[in-house]
Amino acid sequence: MNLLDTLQITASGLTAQRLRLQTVASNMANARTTRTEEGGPYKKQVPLLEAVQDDPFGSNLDRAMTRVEVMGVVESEDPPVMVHDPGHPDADAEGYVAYPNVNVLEEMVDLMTTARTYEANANVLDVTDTMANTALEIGR
Amino acid sequence: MIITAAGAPSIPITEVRSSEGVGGVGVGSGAAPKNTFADKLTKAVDGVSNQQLAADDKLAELASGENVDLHGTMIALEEAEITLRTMTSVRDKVVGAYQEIMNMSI
Repeated sequence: MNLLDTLQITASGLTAQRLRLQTVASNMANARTTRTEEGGPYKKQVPLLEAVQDDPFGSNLDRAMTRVEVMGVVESEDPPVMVHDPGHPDADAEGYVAYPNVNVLEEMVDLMTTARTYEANANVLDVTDTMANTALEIGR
Repeated sequence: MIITAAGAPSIPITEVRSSEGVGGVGVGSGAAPKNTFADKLTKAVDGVSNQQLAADDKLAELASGENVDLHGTMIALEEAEITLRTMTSVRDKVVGAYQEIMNMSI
């Protein structure tokens, strides 16, 4: 385990948060999308994050260190929001339109936590850099 | 493998090598020892050079629009900087030690 491995772990955190940001952007942009290629309204996209051992064959300490990896993006199973709007071209026989299961307020909160987590990871990076520089100053 | 005639007195050569190891800086008198200070230094400098090249590649990818991972590029640059600074520090120490010895009054 050296200082540069810390940088790689932090990099994985930053990548994961950037992907979360992308799913939030996609959900926000499609918050009112009623048509998709598969038919039906847009479904909320949820990123799946998994902890992956940084060095599975290393020492005990090395194996305790985990990177975060994006295993994929899945569709939320929440039911669509049914709104009565008989004039809408996508309304069903009873006049209900199925809108995406995206809650814009929840997405806003996700956006904030994503931004803060990205910031936190960037701070770890800064501290790593400072520690490396401090170590190099020893004995000067 | 092929050196049968020259490699025959292998025991005295290894003995010489081990005594060189105690002395620190091996002169490499034809036996070409593998673990001299110079070899290690070359390896370290190569490592630093590779980091610089990796950072350069990332930067080129970003500039050409292939790679949109901003932080990946920045981290590669950061790694290159840290390794370069480490190498500079080691160089300073080595040069300092050399000068210390050269300035020794006899």
